[in-house]
Amino acid sequence: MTVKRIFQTLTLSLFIYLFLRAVYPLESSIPVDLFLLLDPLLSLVSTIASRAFTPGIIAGLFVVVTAVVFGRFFCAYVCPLGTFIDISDTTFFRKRLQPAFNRDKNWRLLKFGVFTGVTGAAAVGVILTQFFDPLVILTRFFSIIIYPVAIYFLNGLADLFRPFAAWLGWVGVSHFTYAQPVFRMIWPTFLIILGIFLLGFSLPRFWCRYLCPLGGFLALLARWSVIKRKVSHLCSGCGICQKSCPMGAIPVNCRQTIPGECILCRNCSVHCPERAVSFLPASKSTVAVQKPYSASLDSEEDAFNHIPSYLENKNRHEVAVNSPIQNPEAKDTPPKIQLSRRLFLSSVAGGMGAALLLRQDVESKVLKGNLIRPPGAIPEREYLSRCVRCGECLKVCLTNTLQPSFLEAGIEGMWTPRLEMRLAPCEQRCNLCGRVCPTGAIRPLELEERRHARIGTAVLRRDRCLVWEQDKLCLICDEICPYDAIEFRWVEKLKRPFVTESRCNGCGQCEYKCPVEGESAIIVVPMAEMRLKKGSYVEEAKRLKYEFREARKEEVSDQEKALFPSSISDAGEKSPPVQDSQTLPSGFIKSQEGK
Amino acid sequence: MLNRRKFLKQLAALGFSLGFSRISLPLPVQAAQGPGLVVARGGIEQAVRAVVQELGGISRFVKAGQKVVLKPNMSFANPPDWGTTTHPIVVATMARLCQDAGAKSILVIDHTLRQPDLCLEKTGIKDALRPFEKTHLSAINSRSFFKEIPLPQGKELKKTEIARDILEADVFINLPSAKSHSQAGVSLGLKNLMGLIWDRNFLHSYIDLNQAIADLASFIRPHLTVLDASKALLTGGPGGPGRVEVLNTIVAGIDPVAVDSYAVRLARWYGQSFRGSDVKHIMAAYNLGLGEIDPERLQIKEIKL
Repeated sequence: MTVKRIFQTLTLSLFIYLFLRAVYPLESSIPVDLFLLLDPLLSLVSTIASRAFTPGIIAGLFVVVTAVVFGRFFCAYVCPLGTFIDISDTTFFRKRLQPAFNRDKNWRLLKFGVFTGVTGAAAVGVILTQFFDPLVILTRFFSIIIYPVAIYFLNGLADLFRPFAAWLGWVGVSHFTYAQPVFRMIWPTFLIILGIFLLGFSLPRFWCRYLCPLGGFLALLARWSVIKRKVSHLCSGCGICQKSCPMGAIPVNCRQTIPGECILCRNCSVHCPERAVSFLPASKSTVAVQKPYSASLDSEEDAFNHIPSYLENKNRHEVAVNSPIQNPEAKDTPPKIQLSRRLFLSSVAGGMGAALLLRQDVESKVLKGNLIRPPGAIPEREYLSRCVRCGECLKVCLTNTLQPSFLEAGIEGMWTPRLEMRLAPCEQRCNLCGRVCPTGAIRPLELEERRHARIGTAVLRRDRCLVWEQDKLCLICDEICPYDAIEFRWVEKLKRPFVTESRCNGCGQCEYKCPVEGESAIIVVPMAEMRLKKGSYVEEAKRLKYEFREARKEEVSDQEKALFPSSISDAGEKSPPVQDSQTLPSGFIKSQEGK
Repeated sequence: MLNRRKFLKQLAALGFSLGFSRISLPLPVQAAQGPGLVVARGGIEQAVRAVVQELGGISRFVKAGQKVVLKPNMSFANPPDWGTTTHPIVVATMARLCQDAGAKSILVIDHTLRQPDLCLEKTGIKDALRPFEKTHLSAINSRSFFKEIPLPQGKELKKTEIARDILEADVFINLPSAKSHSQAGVSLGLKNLMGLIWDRNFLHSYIDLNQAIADLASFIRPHLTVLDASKALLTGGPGGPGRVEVLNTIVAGIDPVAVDSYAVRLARWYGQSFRGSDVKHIMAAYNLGLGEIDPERLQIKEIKL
């Protein structure tokens, strides 16, 4: 068990642990979106795109500083996607030989292009991390695919075991059940990550070498790192390190390392038969003295015997040609992978261009359908520029109402969270989504503030409502409304529902519970939604004269005082009965009198 | 050879087992001694203990080694001062009493209307039950907890999926709260049984709710009803917000119709006073022979603490 494996196990376990802890009541001392907060690419892009510092920018800066000082260790030791790629590579893909370095130079530049392109898009206010950021891709994969599948199996096992548990008297176990979540956007999410893993057919850590913008960012920063790979005079020039490097960061001259490509995983050091490789601060200079090339065929065979198992050497001749054993003219300075000015400008321009094209999307201008955003979501333009589409809020949502958008807000809005009221309502006493959002696209609100964060208004579709259309008795929307915003009034011999707009919070309980098949007869539309970039929702609600009610005890209006005597009564006949029986529920026999 | 003693013993045994069975049958005969209804006013815990004591003590209802099911109203994620759910002290006191009586297990269940984790927490019931080891709190919000049962006495509701825990329990104690209801008029003990079925929607919109409540009550017969009228929700029921009146009253009895009927008189729902016979679902239950609609016919004991 190498140091790398130990660290990777620890960080991956932490990632999974935090993911599991992202659940009600969210009492984790470590923020559950820790990895997303640490991701410097997200902090950078979100800050630039929304023109405001994201709350987690300190964590991102911290990682930037560590990358400058210590190099690109994040990719090997922290990034959970990197760990998964390593596992996938060693498990499923028998590796072919690393190509000689100079062949893939342009490929390496691609990740810089992606990085600057994403940054360029951010400069125009458009987020592209949903397609390219590793932590976003992985977290979304967990939220949208792994989590529901795991719950499905868990519940299946629990169902199988239930009779036994009951028989054994294990009441808690026999009553174990977990609400089954379900999400949209399964195929796009799955295909992206499948694609990343399948790249292992070509090379180990293909994504990290050539595509990852975070890797590109860190590679640029790693130039000045204190920790570097050092090869001592003990080196025999066998080239095993070159073959064992998952990043292909060791060039033809295996005593050198390509700056920015080495992720400090120490594979080379572990496999070096001479123990000539170490990772030390740059102050210690070790002069690399080349041993005379006296390699006989025997030692070459020995060299091959040390090859790690996941590297299968199909092309031994290619090795021979490229190794220093056969090629003493190998250059002394490692080839440079540099972000040239041309590449920088063209990729920034490309990113900006793509962003401007996305911004022209009609959907995002013309709000189609009923796009309801979570309570505490900042105004739509900023929301789209802040949300990195990580999927953390999807996982934590208590009712499973939060769903990733497909094209409801245009291509730009793909994967941004929206509410699906017919699937589940938004619980008024829950504020989890804002608390886990790493960039503050959904503001973290205290429960009292959250209760005043109106997300829309319920609108009755009278042509579908059982009461309006079919003269049937139904009061479910009134029954379930937590804000007492539905009122029944006599209209044509029947009491029919009306929405009191000043009381409605848009929570969607009515839309969820409406018993009409198919589309609900009462739907929530974005009308009167409150989206404050900052400031108090309670104040705003007061200013707009919204009435989000609590149970009334003390405050009674004069009209009601006439109806209700203030003394605690034994239901005495002290006050005269109310003349107007129009407001009584149908469950009373009295209410049949009157209109 | 069957002699008189044997015959009477067998009859008593049959009566005893039928009284505690889950199969639909006429209500067991009222105990010859003791009150039929007990009403206590005062502190919640003392009131609960007092009513149970007056009815013969918990050992009348719970024997050692039995499986007890308590069904409070915890369907809404509101604190107890909203008057929309059963007060946690009532639930905890009953759990305590059952535990002292030697119950093998105490299951506290409800098929909640709102998100279950929130409901259990905000109602305060989860915290109140934490110290009890043999007590298990469960929001039975998954279909695998229910089983379809025919309701032979049902007029509107002929079959429905009922909580398995009820079918398997030895003792069932109903712990409703007292509130108004926008459709049924009032939600007391009989209405509280709706938290033990899977498909509540069907009853609300496709059939006559009032008759359906009675049909359900014809099958699910609590051994004891302890109604929490510490607060009464006078308007805006069942979920609130609405006007809450502090009554500090607990009503208990074996006859579920009588308990409900008495409780109707406790408060001025929607600003008016009603009798049990004014409420359709209570009348429907009476018409099915499930109990006494006129509480005056029973011996009522009132306690002031």
